[in-house]
Amino acid sequence: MKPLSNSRREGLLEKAPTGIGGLDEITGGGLPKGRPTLVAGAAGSGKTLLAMEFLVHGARDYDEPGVFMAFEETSDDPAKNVRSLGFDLKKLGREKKIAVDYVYIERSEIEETGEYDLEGLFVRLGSAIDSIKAKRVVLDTIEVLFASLPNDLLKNPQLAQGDQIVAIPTLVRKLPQPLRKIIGDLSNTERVLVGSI
Amino acid sequence: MTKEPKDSVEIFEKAIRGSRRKKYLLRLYIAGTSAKSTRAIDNLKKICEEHLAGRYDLEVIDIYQQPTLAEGEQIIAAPTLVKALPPPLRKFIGDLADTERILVGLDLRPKKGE
Repeated sequence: MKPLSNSRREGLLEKAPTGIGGLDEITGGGLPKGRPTLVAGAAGSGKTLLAMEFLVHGARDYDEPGVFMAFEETSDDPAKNVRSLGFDLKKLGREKKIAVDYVYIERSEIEETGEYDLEGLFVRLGSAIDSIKAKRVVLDTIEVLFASLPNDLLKNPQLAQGDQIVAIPTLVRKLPQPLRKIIGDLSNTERVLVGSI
Repeated sequence: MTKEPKDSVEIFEKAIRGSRRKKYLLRLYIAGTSAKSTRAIDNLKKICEEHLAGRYDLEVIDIYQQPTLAEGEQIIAAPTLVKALPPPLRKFIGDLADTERILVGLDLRPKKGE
């Protein structure tokens, strides 16, 4: 088989290595750089592990700091889950290589009283990114966020049917303006959206 | 000698009078000078003047200026009004146009059916 010529290489998407040997090999170098990637899979299939490896390898091996934004339904200690995967987030945090923001949404104490947007979330994400000059971002898991918001701000019929793969373009297009703005502003940032089927 | 409450109705009414004197500590998180933020400030001022005159402290926080405060208070939406005191803690998201809902949420008006 002939190796790709330089001109054809240039036409390929630039990749961000995950540091996971087999995955980088079959994807031709990793996840597409500067684009969101949706990771879908059943509970326990390893979505969070994949995302964490992407961040930790990025921070340790590729000089690309990362933000982990966790959406939690309860106030269980999420750091415990991550520790069980063998990653010391606190150490990487002290070294300014990984920033973690746990987002708790307690529906019972929230009341809707008119028009709103998710600017609070994006300000927090932006602030976390700025604090360590992050190049990688993980949002885990996005359906917790969507499920916890009551109105039609994020209404997405395709997503509701659990058809996330097909819904990817719709999902990204329907994300509120501020997130699209962040993606636009940080064109060198790759991000992983973690969602389950 | 202080007057002893006679029955449950009187105890209840006394409690209601007590709650009317309670001091409110409110924090309003806004996103710069967006239309929704401006409306939220106007709506909240009106509600405070009409229903909480003289017994509230209000702090307005611009999340663009102080993003770490948004993280500390687990803010995701803008605008968000936080009732820090009296307990229980409540969050109202939106431009606060739904006055009735806020009054109920602030315990300034009984819920429907009560």
